Amino acid sequence: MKRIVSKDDAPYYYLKVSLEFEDETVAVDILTFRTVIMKAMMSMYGEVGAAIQIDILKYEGETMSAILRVAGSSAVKLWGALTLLSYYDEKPCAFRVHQVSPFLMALASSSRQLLMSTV
Amino acid sequence: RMSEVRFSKLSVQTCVCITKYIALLTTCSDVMSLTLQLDLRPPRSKLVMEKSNFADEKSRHRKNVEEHHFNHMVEVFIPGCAELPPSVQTEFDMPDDYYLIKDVPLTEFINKDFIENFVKKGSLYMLSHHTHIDKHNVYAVLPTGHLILSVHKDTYEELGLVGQPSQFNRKVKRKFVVEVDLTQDIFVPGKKNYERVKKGFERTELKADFLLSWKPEGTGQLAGSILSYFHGRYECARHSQVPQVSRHTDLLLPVVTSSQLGDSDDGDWCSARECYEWLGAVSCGISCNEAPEHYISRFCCPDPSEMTPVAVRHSITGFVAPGKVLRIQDSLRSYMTDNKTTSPWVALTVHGFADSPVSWARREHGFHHGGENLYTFLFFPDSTYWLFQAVGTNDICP
Repeated sequence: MKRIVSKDDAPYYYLKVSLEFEDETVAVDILTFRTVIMKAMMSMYGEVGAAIQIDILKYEGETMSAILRVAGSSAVKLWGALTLLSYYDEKPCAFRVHQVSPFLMALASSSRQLLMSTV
Repeated sequence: RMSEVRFSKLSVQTCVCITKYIALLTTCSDVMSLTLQLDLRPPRSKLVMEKSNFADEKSRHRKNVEEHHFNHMVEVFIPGCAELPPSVQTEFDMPDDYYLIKDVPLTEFINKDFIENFVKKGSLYMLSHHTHIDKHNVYAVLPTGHLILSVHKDTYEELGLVGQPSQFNRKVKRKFVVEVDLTQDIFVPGKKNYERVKKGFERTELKADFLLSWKPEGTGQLAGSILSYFHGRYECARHSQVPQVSRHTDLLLPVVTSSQLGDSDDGDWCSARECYEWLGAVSCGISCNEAPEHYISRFCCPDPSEMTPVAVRHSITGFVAPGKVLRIQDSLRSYMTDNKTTSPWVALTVHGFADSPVSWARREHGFHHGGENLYTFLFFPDSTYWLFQAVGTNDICP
């Protein structure tokens, strides 16, 4: 029997986010979505921030929701930058961060959101 | 004239005050700047990775499942199979309904008939619904017969019962945890302890919607007979677990060795952590066979990997009792020890409720930026298994 306890050194953080535009007819594809995130990081942290490696693991075009992966040390920066973004291409928009976790498995279910809709 | 002042370890309120003060002062011709240095460390979390054998007498595979009372989703991932093996499929198909009872006052739980007929005669699982552990009062009844209340400071003082302040965020005592043992012999009407609890509940008039699941001991009673206790007086609804199935073809699997949890020097196997991340990707429905362009993502199946022609993932979501998880675990074990199996391993994952007041046994659980308390088993054909237990910031290491 062997046991490894890993505390506080998660290599990656995962965020479940969705992008909302004030104008509901706007839809973006995955490349534009990535550019929106890059612009958010750029406006808050400059060129260095924009260069931080962020992976879009899953993207749904209709709902404009995605699962992002970022290094643990940059998780707080990304979350802050996404929260403070209010315009893209002169269109008002906002990021909604639904779930954040150092474990990708934890994003597979959310007892808070699911129960709200089914029951 | 130039002067510089430095502050450190400021609370948010102090920062706001200083910012407002400086905004007022910059109306004059002086130049002022305020630099904030942020603590950008990510929130804390814990992941326990354990490797053991079913034959080992100290193996905690049963204890781990039994003590995790409130389960929201149970999923099984079997590579090498297009359909679930029959023994596993029967376990998933067995009906396992739960109930939602609205507006139940806490005085119902100390009712003598309720305790004698349901709490003491089986395993009762109850969890308050639509209550967030970081914002509202949360109540739960464990199968051990404990009633756990996670309440605000004001409610705690009004209740007048003995409890402990929450183990998380100790400096600001906002939440308190009260435990009432309903099965104690001295917990009967007329005794001091009972009357005190009763008066506290009547004075505060606490009530909530509850998710309920009851497994009677033995075969004497039906699981649905608890409904007749609440029916007529409270609004009851019956719900069944929601199943979901997804199948994969030509999927890349990470290669793992059951005896090695850590990294391989020669790149012969994937580490347990990489395998866990990959399993999470499968659960979230992320396709990770071919690596997309670097601008979008650099995530792909960890190296070394092997191709499997088929794989199936089956999940049920709702309010699942540990007994069902134990039966699924046993059926998966028998499938893996069967000689005809084509799977290198199978994975069983159980997600807990984000707003449950306890994670395993009676360990306190909280919601900081996430309420994860989940575990994953990886069963190998040689009767060894891996167990991953993941908890968030406001949690005690399992």
